[in-house]
Amino acid sequence: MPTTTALAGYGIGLRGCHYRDFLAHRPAVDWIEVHSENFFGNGGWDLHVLDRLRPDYALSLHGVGLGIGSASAEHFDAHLARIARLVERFEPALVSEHLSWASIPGRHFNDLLPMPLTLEALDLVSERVERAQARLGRQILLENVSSHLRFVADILPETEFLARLCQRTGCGLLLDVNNLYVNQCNHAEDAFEAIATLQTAPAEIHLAGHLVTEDSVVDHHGDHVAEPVWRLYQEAIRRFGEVPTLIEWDTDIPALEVLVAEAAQARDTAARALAGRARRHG
Amino acid sequence: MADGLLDAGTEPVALFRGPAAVSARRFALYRGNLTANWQRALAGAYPVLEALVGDEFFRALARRYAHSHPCREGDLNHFGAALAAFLGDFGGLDDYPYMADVARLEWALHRAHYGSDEAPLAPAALAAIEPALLGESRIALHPTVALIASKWAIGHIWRAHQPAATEPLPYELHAACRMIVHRPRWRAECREAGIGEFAALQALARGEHLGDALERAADAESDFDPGATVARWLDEGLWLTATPPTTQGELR
Repeated sequence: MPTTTALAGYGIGLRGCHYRDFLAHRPAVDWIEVHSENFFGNGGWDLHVLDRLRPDYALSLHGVGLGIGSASAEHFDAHLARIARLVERFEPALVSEHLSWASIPGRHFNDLLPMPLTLEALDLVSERVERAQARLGRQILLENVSSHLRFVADILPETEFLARLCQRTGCGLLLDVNNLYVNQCNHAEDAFEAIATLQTAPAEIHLAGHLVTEDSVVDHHGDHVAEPVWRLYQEAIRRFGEVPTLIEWDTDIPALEVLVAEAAQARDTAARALAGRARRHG
Repeated sequence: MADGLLDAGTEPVALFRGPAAVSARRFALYRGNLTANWQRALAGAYPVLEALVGDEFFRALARRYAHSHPCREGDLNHFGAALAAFLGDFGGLDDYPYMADVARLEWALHRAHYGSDEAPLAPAALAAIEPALLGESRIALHPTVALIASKWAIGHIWRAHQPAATEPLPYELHAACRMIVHRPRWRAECREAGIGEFAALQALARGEHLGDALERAADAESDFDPGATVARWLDEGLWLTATPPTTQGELR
């Protein structure tokens, strides 16, 4: 299976409010990410903008709507076909989705709903990942999600579930460090431990802001990356070396410069982590 | 879990770890996301309708609509196709009979935004058709074109709610209006059409010959100018193909 090596460094999401800025003066980021579903139209402005920018940036195609863990496969193949159309047109370096479910027969919830982390679920998701990789003719990455709830039925930690999935299907791991932190807060799971014991090196890392509320920590992608998340990120970089890293910002999206600066901070943070590792080993 | 997402008070807390009261509150966060997503998706497609009915009414409308017309795909840009029809059943809008037609106009604009980029018919391609065969030619409208007729001044209402609006809301709303939606380049637009040109475009959309369509226009509007109108349509890119009667293929 072809692997995905054509993307490196620090990227940001391309969102509608920044199209004009991107077209006017290609900002200095290593790559861009888009949400696949925003480009499912037959034509129009979004696709046109991506056509214009694609020659200047490597691309990560990130899906939020496949619902790969949904018990019903009703929506699966049609959604996959639309992703395939984008893969063919834009030749992204990375194609990713989430470890979550989204739909029942006759209704799509358009959300990243938490999966029971069981062996049955692992079988189901493995079969879907294989189907997706066969249809797209390439590897996909699966991302750990944040959740407000954990199932009584869970028998695997999420990172182990994903590591097994990677081993079984040849898919890659997209490690969202903010989600690990959110789940640490919500479920008393040890995020440092998860990184230290991860059996699969991530092919991509996501960083984002979160919101602390009374009932739960919400992965809202509407703020700067928080300090404890930067520390976890350094831990991941010390362990795995430099990994393509995305700054995600999807609500209350600030000026483009803010995102570019946040990506630069990720670069600096990774460099410091690697320098520290070199000193320790040197 | 799916039932609990749709109906408050049915949180399946036994499925989850931790105290039931905490699980119930956290489960409600997912339900809240769902409503927020519905509202955001519909507000994206129907900004004028949202402004007309207000935030609170719109949120209730979004929830009721989503319960009876589930989103069926992972692309929320298709969610809301039946909202105009649903408005009639929703109640509370009997004094605002133009709302459904405003919604039809907004949905056509929304779909035009995502419509195909196919090049419209070039004037040269039309000029290449033998003049004697023009009248019996069939015209396919560009896929981003939509024709919306209303008893109400929906064009006026729509323009009055645009960010750079200079027109106030019309005093008299009960005024027939025919709107052409299209997408020159990348931004979906709409404009009011004369009664003649609208009749002709409707006829073309039904597959009638160009000559018959233009005749309908002249019947509907005594000072209809076919030459100038066709030139305007071509300039706006409203046509996709023209097929003269003697050829099998279509001209672009």
